[in-house]
Amino acid sequence: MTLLNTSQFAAFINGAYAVSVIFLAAVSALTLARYRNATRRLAQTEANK
Amino acid sequence: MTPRKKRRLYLFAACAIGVGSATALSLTALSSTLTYFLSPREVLAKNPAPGMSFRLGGIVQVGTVATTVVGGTPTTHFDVTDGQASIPVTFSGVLPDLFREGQGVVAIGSMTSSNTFSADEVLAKHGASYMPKDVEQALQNAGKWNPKFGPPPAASTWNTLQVKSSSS
Amino acid sequence: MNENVLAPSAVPAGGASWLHRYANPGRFLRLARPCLPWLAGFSLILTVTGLIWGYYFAPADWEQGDAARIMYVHVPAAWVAMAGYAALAVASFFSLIWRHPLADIAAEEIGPVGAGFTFVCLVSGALWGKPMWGAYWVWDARLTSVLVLFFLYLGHIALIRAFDNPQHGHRAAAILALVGAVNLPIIVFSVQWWNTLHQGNTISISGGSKIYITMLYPLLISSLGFYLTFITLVVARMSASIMEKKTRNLLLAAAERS
Repeated sequence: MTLLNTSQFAAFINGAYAVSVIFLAAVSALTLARYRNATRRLAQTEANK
Repeated sequence: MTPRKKRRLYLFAACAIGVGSATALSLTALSSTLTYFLSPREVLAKNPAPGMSFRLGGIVQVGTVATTVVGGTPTTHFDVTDGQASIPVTFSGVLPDLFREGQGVVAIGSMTSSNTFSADEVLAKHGASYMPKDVEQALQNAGKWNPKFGPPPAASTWNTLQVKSSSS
Repeated sequence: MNENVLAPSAVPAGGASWLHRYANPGRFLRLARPCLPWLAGFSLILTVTGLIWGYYFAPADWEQGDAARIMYVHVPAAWVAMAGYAALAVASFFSLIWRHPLADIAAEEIGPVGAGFTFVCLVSGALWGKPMWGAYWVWDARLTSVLVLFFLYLGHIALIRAFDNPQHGHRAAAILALVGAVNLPIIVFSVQWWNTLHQGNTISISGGSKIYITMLYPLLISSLGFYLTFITLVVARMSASIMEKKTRNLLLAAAERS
């Protein structure tokens, strides 16, 4: 197993992975929150009909 | 101005900036930088005036790299070739990590009156072939490829090649 | 609804009624809901597998060493950025020609996700360029055309929301998306048509990919993960958008009754 703190370019490699993972995690969390919110509000509105 | 109109105006401005910059960038690229660098052959044909800045691209010719250190700053002399013509280059400073004989480079600078290219900056242009070190060694040992003399042989001859030592 | 509508006589003039019948927002919602957990699960597994494989287990490159590992995020992000724009252009086409509500929703939701992947491609590319080339950014044809792709996404995001009448926004944005699609072949072929600092294409569909097999596998897995993540995000956002519209319509109807 190669741990990348040994590479002289570790900061660049880790940075590129960090940007990607943070983006994927953030956009997934936002989307999940929006989807749940939309589901909940629709169910509420339909119940009050 | 109503807030609604104001918002429309802002959004319109955002669009204009987005679309405008997209177009402007394309046009910039299309007019002068579609070709990022000139090959030695093109440079010899165009014969740019000394002092006119341009980018020279090609391969670092084998056996031409010489480095001298003057006052703590390394100065490197090497020839850039495209296989047909070659131009001597002088560069003072630290070269990119990938710099070696046979490596693709793009040098930014201008011609001097003595017909050498004086580079302010040297960028490395690496290839599009990806393989572990031991596959490269196996190809070298088999006499099929020397990275000093150009890109590797056809990919089908090595991209599933079995090598003895294990990587990683 | 009568299900026996595929008979030619039942199709009214226009020829595209199948589109409205089989791709209406309500049906999309019913189909998407059971698929989403599966899509999300496979996206997560493949992305995590691909990235860990590339970061830890793939061999270092002969020339670039460990820095070549940036490939496993950069290349999938670039592919998804371009495929996302192609999807945007297709949705815009249906939106413009057929005025299809689902295509409008798709175009609206693809934009921000595609822009995000393009941003990841640009940033990871800069972080790859600095240690290998010696520069974060150069104005060569490949890098410039991808930056143009990013601005096209941003322009589309702004334009589709810029009008009080959503129809006008969808129409204008669709035109922008379709005009901008000309940039896609420019990105792909830029490294062949002009001298660029960016290297040529490594993967070719017509055979002869210039990458060793132990590096190809993590690249493909990571790419598949990124593609599925993109699809999952867009489908979830489209579903949310449809539900938000339904809620709004119900509230409006309730307000009118009272």
